[in-house]
Amino acid sequence: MPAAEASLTSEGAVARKGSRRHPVLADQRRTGLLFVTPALVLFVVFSVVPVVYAFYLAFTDYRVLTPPRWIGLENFVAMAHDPVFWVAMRNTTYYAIGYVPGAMVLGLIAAVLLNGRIRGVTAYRTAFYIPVVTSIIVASIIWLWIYNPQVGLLNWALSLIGVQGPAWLYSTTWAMPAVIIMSVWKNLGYVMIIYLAALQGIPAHLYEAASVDGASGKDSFFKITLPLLKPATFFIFVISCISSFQVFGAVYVMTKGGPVNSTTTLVYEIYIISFQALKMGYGAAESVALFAAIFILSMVNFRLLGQDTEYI
Amino acid sequence: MLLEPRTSPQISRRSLLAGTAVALASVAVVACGSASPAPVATTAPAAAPTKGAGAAPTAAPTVAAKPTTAAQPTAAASTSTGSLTISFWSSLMGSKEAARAGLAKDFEAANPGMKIQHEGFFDIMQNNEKLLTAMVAGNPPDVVSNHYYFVSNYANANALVPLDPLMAQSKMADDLFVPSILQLGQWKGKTYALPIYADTMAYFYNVDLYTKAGLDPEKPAATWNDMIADAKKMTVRQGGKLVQEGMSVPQDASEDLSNMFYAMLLAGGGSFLSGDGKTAAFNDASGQQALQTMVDLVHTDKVTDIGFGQGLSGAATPFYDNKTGSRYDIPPTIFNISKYAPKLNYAISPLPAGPKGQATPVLAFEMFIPKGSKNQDNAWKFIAFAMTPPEQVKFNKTSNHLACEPEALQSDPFFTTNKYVKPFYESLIGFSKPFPITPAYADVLATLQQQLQAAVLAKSDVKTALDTAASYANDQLSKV
Repeated sequence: MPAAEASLTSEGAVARKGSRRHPVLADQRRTGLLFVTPALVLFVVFSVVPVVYAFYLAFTDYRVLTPPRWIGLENFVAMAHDPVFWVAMRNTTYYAIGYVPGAMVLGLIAAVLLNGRIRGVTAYRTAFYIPVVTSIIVASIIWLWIYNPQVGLLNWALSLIGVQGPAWLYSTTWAMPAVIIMSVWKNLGYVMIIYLAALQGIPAHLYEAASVDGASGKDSFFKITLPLLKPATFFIFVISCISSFQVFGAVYVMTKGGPVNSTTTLVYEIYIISFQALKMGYGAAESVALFAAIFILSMVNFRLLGQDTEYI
Repeated sequence: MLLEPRTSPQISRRSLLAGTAVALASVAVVACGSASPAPVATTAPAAAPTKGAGAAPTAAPTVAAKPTTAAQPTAAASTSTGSLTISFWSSLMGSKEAARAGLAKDFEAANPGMKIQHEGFFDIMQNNEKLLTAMVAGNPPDVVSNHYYFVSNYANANALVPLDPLMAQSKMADDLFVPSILQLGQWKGKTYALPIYADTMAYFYNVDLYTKAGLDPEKPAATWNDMIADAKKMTVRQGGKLVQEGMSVPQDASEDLSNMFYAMLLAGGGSFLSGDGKTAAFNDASGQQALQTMVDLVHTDKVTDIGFGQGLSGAATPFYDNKTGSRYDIPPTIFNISKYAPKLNYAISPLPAGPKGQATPVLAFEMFIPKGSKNQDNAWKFIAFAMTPPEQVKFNKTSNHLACEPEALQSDPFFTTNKYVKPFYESLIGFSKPFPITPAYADVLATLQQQLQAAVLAKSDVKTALDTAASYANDQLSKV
């Protein structure tokens, strides 16, 4: 166990023991609880209760304007036979497989490039981060134009090298890649910032020692940088996997799930079923399926990647 | 240092109890703060007069039938007992915004002390979503205006105030309205909503492109064959690349796409639902012919390309930008053209005739009172005021839509002479039929639009696409 962690642990142990007897610490804890309580109450009322209620609704036929009617597992049986649900599940997986590595690799490259002392580095970092704070609606509308087959920037750029671009958002082949590219562009800055913070936490003396030992830049990157970025990589991977299973805004604005359901993702399908078809019970059942998918994915991530994580 | 593991401090029983007490107190404060005010205004929905079943509207409108002054509503008939402020949620935005503001202003002037508190939604779905939430919470607005197709769903769930007793009380007769438009607000024989404006569909065409193609803009396409031939002539490609489409064929799974299909379905002699409204009928031979014609326009006649102009909006819309020869469209486009392309040289004519003649669907925006409204008397007063023929004329003249009452339509030459509105008026009185009326429509429509798109993009053959949508529709209709 690292020394820092040991001392922290022992401090914690001291604090725990002390709290039972020390009136000042007990008072601080009470004060802390008082401060946390409003947020906790809001969290319970607006997050925990709705989530629990959604689990209940998943076993009912609920059309919003009429009371829920208990139907047991019917929604789940229907879901198992619903081709659109499975298409949505497949599309969501496709999106995650495209988006997560794309955002992580490009985010890492951007972070490494912008970690050095280059002129105007702050401006570059800001430029990369601007899409993150841009509304998904605005970003999606901009990309609608970029992807336009006649007047869009992308096809114009492709035409310069003699390539006739497709009708991106009207092609069942290209619509999902188009959504993935937009999402990677939109969230690249977030990944970059996390990696930048992690890069700046790597002690410089490690690189100096490697340099003295004759290590090349490539060796330093693969033997020092990447291993020490593992906690950040794990964090980004888990967060990106979860967010990729929740993609909605880009699909809603750019494709409405089309063409021909080729970009219908799980959350979009849940939205359509719940708010357009008004089948809240069925939508809740799909939400439970989504919850299960994210839960299992996260558990697998923790099992495979999180076990030997060392915090520096 | 990233993700530093921490030891969590233990919480004593006393502090936990203190925290719980504060939490309960906070909940109590929140609960007290949202205690519902206001007594419920008294309206007595007595047994309503029975009308024809709302499920299968087929009656053609008879605008010239009987505009009688006796049929006019007396808006001030009921005594108001609720709040003087009427909360009003609507999607009367865009082309309707100025008209809606004018209506509210007129009402406030005619009813001193009363106020319309409006909340607008550009998207009809957002209006629907928020209203559903408010209805379930028991705190809906007093009056709502939204697309007709939500009405039967709300009515089927017993969430709206039946208007027949209120109409009788205000001496407002059914024959005040164009019958096919009135049907759009009815469900199972009762009237739950009244129309503020109506839209039919018409054929928009670019006069300059018609002329350039050697066509006579005074003689726009009268039949589907003319329409296809004209579109071919107006199609321009340069180096194999389409630069001007002869006719726009919607390719999104959207209302534009289903509207065009429905208009062509009617012109082919088909109907959306069976006579009893219990099964889908849009997949019969008429439906297949209608959809095949749309598919052929893209893939055989090649009057447009997949993706051409799709997704573009505002001034870049190809029709506004002189890059589209013709299109099926609705009246709000008149407002949009005046806003984004005021110099566009275009004209409008009734839709070309299909194999069974001319036809257009008619839809309406409705006004209705949710059952949980705390101010139902004044809500009705506002609706009744909006239904007076002078207000109907004013609203629809301002917004370029069609009034819903024969007397209003005939009392002002705007509807019968304005070159852009006249084709819609003539279509309404000549050959219009209501859009489908069923609580399952929104759900069915979403699936149909996906299948129509699959056919237009050549990802499915016409019969498979329509049969798939019909199968889903039948399943949903059986549950109504």
